[in-house]
Amino acid sequence: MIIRLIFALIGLGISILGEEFLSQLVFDREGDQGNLVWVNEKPITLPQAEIGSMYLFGKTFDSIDQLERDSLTQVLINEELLIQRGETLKIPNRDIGVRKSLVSASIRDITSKFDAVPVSERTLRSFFSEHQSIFEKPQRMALDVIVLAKQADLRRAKSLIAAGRDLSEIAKILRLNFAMPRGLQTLPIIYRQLGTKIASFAEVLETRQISPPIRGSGGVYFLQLTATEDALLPSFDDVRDIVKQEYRRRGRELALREQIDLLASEADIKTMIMSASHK
Amino acid sequence: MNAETNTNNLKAVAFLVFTSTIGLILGLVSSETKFFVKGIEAGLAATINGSEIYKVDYERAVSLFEKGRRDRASLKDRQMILGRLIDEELLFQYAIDRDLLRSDMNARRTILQAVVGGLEVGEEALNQTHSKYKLIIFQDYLTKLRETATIYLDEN
Repeated sequence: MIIRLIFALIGLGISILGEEFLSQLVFDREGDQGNLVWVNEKPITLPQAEIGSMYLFGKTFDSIDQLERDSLTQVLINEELLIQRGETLKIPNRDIGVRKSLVSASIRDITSKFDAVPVSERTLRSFFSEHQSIFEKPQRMALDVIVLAKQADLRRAKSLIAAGRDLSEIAKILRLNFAMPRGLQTLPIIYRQLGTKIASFAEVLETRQISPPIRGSGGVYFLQLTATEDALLPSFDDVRDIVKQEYRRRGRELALREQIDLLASEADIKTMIMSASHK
Repeated sequence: MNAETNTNNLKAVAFLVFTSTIGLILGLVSSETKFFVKGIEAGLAATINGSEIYKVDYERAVSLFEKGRRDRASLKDRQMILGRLIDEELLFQYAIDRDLLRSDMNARRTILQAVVGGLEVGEEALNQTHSKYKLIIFQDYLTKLRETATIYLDEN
């Protein structure tokens, strides 16, 4: 009976103190980082003052004089009042610019935690050996490509090829422009320029070999492989900075994905579109 | 006679359990369906902790995605687009929860510009475009905000 009475009294006490008691606890915790001033129960923290001081005076908050401190305090109060006004007007939800800015702030906040962790040389080296293909300099090839639109040119080109002439000579004789740049290029770029059907012939050519005639858009194509450069894996020391950048980039992406997944798992998400689901 | 009564009781209990389970399931299905139908009627694509993503915004994102592409967005693309919008809303809520509006300097600057920009729009409506008037109106606005605010220095 007495125990029940005690519990009932505790319950009554909590309900009477209620929000004020809880908010006091919250404010005390916020106060741990040090506050300068309170505006409508919202603290302006010392770290905020520190940033403001550096921005306005280019000095730390401790090193500014009383006059500067007072004017900074007034500026921060004005800013806080304007921010609170913005919150009342629901500007963060309604203004697309503010919304995007907040999303970017979240990304910075999450990824900066990953960036703050120092990376050891050993970690970088093991990342390099596990992801060598990223740092590999890809194979490149140089091609001469001509397109023949006229039947007479095609006949002439065929006979010149049969006589052992290179495509560069044939282009000169027939006054043709090359269909793509002649320098060394990677396979994906060659595929993009020539299309899958024609580019696939380039892959099987030997150096100096000329392809059979290939019918494509704009006429008949001939390709000649003039030079190749094998794929090359640089040493770790040569690409150390790139390895570090890539490690950081992937780490940031992973940290962000993990945090979003965590937020999603804790959130109440309902999708109204039948086909949709999160992730 | 006794055995028959027991069997009847058991049957009654089983019937009760069965009907209440069916009732419970129907109730749950009904509330989810109601939410779903309500959502569709309200033109919603999704809700995240009560915040809404409207179908019109989702469709706008889909057409932006389709711009400059030969094909229309596939089912997978559409799922990805809605997923991105949900991610964005989760990150927005993360920022609000952590008060990044105040602590992140870029976000802080953006909201201050938006609030002050809103004031300037109001001034233009009043044809008060002169910078001197602008300053006076801004100062008046701040004075009014200060008058209704509770401001005190932290003594600790």
